[in-house]
Amino acid sequence: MAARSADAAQRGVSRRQLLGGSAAALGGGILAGGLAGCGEAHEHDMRRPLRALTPREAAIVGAMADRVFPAGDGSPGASEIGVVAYLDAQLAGGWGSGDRFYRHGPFEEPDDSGHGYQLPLTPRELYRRVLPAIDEYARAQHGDGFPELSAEQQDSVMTDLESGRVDLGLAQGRFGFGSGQFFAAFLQNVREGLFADPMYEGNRDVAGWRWIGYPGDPMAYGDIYYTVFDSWDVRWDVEPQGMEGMH
Amino acid sequence: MSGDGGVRDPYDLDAFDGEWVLLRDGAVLDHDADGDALRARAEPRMRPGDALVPIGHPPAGYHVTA
Amino acid sequence: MAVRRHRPVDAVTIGVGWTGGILAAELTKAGMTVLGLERGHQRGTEDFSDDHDELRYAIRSELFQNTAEETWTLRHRQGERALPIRRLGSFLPGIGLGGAGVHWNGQTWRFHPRDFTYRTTAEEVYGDRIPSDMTIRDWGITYDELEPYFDRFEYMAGIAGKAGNLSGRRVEGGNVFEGPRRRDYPVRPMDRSLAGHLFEQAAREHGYHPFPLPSANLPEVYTNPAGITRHHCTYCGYCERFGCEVGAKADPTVTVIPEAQRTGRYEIRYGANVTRILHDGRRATGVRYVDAAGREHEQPAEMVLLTAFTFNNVRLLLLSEMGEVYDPATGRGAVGRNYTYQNNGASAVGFWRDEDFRPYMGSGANGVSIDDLDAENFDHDGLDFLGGGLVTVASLGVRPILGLTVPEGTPGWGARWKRAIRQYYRGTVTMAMQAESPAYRQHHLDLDPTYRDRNGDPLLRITFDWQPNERKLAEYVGRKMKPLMESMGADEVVGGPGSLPPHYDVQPYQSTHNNGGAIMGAEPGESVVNRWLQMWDYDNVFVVGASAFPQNASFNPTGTVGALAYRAADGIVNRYRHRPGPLA
Repeated sequence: MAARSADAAQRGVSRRQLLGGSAAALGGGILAGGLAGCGEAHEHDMRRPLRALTPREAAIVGAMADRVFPAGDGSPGASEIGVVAYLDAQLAGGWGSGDRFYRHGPFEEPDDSGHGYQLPLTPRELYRRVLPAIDEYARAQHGDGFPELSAEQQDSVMTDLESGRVDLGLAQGRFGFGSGQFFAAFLQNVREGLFADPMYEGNRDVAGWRWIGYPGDPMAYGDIYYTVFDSWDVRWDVEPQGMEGMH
Repeated sequence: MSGDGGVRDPYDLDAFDGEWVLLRDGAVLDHDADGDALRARAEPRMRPGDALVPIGHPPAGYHVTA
Repeated sequence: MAVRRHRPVDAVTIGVGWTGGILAAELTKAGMTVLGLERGHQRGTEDFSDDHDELRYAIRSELFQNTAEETWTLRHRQGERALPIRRLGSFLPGIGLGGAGVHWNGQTWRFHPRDFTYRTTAEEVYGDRIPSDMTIRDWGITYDELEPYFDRFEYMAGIAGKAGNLSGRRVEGGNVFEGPRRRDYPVRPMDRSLAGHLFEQAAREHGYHPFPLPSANLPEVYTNPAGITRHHCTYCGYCERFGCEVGAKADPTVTVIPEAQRTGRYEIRYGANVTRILHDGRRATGVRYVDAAGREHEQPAEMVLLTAFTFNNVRLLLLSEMGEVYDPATGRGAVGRNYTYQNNGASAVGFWRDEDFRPYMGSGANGVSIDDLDAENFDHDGLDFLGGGLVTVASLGVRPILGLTVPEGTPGWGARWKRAIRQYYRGTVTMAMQAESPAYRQHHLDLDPTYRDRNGDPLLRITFDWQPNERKLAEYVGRKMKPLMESMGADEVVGGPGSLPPHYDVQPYQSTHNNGGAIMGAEPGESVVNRWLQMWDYDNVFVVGASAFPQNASFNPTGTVGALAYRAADGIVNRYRHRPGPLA
């Protein structure tokens, strides 16, 4: 929904530009589009301005994450739980810039399996390259951008990604970086966004932890698991708590 | 080799990922998705040092521990 | 810029982890001055009050080496081009005070008697079934000679367990296959989880001999022989990859380093990255290091002790051109030979629909093990592989980002995945195999011809892959594990014949048990160090750590590493110091 109106707002501005109206009208149009644009950022369940992703990228990430962990069965979906905000913050930080990658060349594609990631792209650069490619693939396969597709169509694109069928233009041979590798990395990021401590902007209101029954930081309960560890019948059904509660 | 369209390099274990293989001196002599089927036809002709093993990533749970 | 020279010390250790800490404590207590050069920074228990943070510690590698600065390259065979390990995955080496001794799990063992005489044993038991390219060797030392040093490490650390062999008397409830120990563990076993209990029952039903996993995480308050008291474990489930905020996990920073520091003869310099051992071809004279600001220093020393973990020990020998480099084509040389790892290629996972195992409660070394499927503890008649593996059900603490496991056939995403993780998080138990890793002629460590670290020095190159022997072992032990999990009462079991990927994969975490490259032996020529871990070629240089292992056994290495370190210290303090020269 949010993604759809963001796209419409962008298209709206372009039409006004094409109509070649007066500067004032153009300014008004842009202003209107701009205000709508501000609103759109918040409608990706961001609750704050973006720091790394563009609005369109955030829309794609949110739509993909919501297929990984959809709303339902009494729980919100991934973007409402904050997965987009989580990933945006991570991409804006050290990890996103590849602070722990060995990024010296030469960069070679492996001749056999088992060599791990061999691209020079940082996580931020990788998402920047791959997300538009996913959008383009969605258009080619199903006639519209990824966030605009139906859930079934989105799942079809996700399945194609997972099985390596989407050409990201990053692989030459069998052991190059394919869409399956990207998809696995994306799933890992979604799991982080669902289950990391809420101070990282995902797992909002500990909804991820509550879903699986993970109690959070044992320090919040006084670090007393040792008093019940071998009393197997004692349950520990608590409202999950993160580390921030200790501060 | 069991019937398959493409020709696989017998020394390329990646080509047999997810299957059972009969290995001798580093080369795949025979393979099958079904380990029991492979064992049934391969076991009689196995020599000391041969390996009749699955190739692939270990099952779920492998990376959780230690 | 001028190189800064320092005043000489009796001994300098390269790295301050378990081995550097043990040597520092023993040598300073004996009156020697010791300098520890640690390229990371200081840390201690007080730094870990906010460390129940899976993202920061377990995933963003807070306590591990940073591959951006220095990494290793990996190739699977001779003649192949090695590629850098660009992100940590398969193993997680430490850095900083305490090294990996801060972030380890705490599983602590003594290798079997047969592990130390593996070549001799294998020739008797397996004869011509030993693959022709396998280069397993005897260590040049026996279990009996190491027994007192195992005891010393266990009492210093406060290892919690139950003996299975007291001076030759078999004790039920302990590991009845272990080598004889002079006395029981210093601390009783840890508390038992439900998962461990079910495994113990199932193991007995199958005729196996289950026993408590020996743990460096204290179940009760303990004061060691040096008078250091530590608090007990709280079973918080944040062990491996994390520092212990209560000091329950045995860690160099709460045991041997304070022991050394109170002598007043121990100095540690941080941010000191040793780049070369200085020598004249017969004797080491000291080391060169680069400080945090990038300036070069020279530190003279009477003795140079390499205590920097397997990889760094070997790399420094290679960069410093000490000892003859191993050439796999000719078999000549010893530095770099016999690199080994750990075979973890079998597991079984049980899923209970209605059981709550409280998986978030745990400790890094809490569990139940069986040794019946290890070594020559079972009949290898008709089997075409050597040795076996340890099988364990451990309650380590299952954390939600990395720990979620779902039954076979469940998709990895989507509504069904979402439902499965809710249904099974609390009801999942994992059984793991940890098996030996034999040495091969073609597996070794050397310097990479292409890739360099940020100082311009070549990276260490690893040549390693899985061989048919390891695949056969994993296949067999895996088949034995599935029925055990079924007997535990799981509603669904994922398991069966174990398997290894087409090639060794640097990406998923497997183990930080990297060994060899500076192996010990009874004779020079095919080993780098003698029975005291003293270099054959340089009397005043000791290379201490798992680099000394000629091959790897099934058990976790730290207990054996600690014993060897105490033995090296004994050699230095009681022999070398009084009469410098070769000890063997």
